[in-house]
Amino acid sequence: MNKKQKITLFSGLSAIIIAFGVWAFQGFHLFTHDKIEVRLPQSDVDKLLGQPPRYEWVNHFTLGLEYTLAIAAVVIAASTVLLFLFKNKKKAFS
Amino acid sequence: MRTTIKIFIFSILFFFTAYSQGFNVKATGVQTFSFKDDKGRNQTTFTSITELDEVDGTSNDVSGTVSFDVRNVANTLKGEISISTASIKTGIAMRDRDLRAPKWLDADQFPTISFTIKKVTGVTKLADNKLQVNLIGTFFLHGVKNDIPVTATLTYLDESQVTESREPGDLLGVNAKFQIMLSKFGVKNMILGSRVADKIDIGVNIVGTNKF
Repeated sequence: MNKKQKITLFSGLSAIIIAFGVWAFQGFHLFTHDKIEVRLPQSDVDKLLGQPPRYEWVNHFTLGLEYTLAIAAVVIAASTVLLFLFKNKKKAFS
Repeated sequence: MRTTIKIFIFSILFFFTAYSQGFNVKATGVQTFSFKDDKGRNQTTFTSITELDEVDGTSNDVSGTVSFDVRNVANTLKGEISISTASIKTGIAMRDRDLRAPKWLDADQFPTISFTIKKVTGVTKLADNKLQVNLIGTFFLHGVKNDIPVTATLTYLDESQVTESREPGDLLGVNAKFQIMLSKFGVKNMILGSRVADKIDIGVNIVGTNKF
């Protein structure tokens, strides 16, 4: 394995690890969300009326497993092609 | 003389039975509450839990009215609460669009989801201004009507400086939780049961005013 191939392998693995890291950090969601529920402060009247806290949707991207797997698949495919290309180039020049 | 005593005893029993099935608040007579809130503070929730996914949804576009005799809720409670089908949000825009599409709730053809009170089957007094009400109502979804049992808690607040901070008039808080089966409402989809549960938990947390 030459230097370019090693860099390709390292970059590919790093990209996959980062993608899975972001996915894990954002809560291991199965599907990607573009909003999250935010709990709103409860007023005294609402408490007297027996109302539980309300929730509001706010824009917030949360990476899901489906996109993470797609990213990993693309990175693996690109890395495989690059590894193959770099191997061939080395042979052609030698 | 015996007849008079019987009438007296029955009157007392009737009075206390009726009294115990209503609120003990300042307001009297028949009151009607509207749940239309332009600020969108009234909320209904639904939850679907399967092994693959949990979906939480909300709708803040609630409307409808409920009326009852304050002292005799058990025998006079009637009304209807509805939400607009298109207002349901689940946190994923694409999923919200799917939910409104014909293959799920078909918001264009069936723009509202509603619950109409049919009869009260029991009332438990939790406090002077709080009742737990067991009722049967007609749930309308996806063009199909089914009767379902619902337990709701009603909290009555007479108009005061505290209630005015929310809106004018006497306020009625309603909390209810119940379940529906989507398949019983004609919702048939390939992923029903896998990614979306057939059994949906519904929560209603709304406040109405009698000045509207």
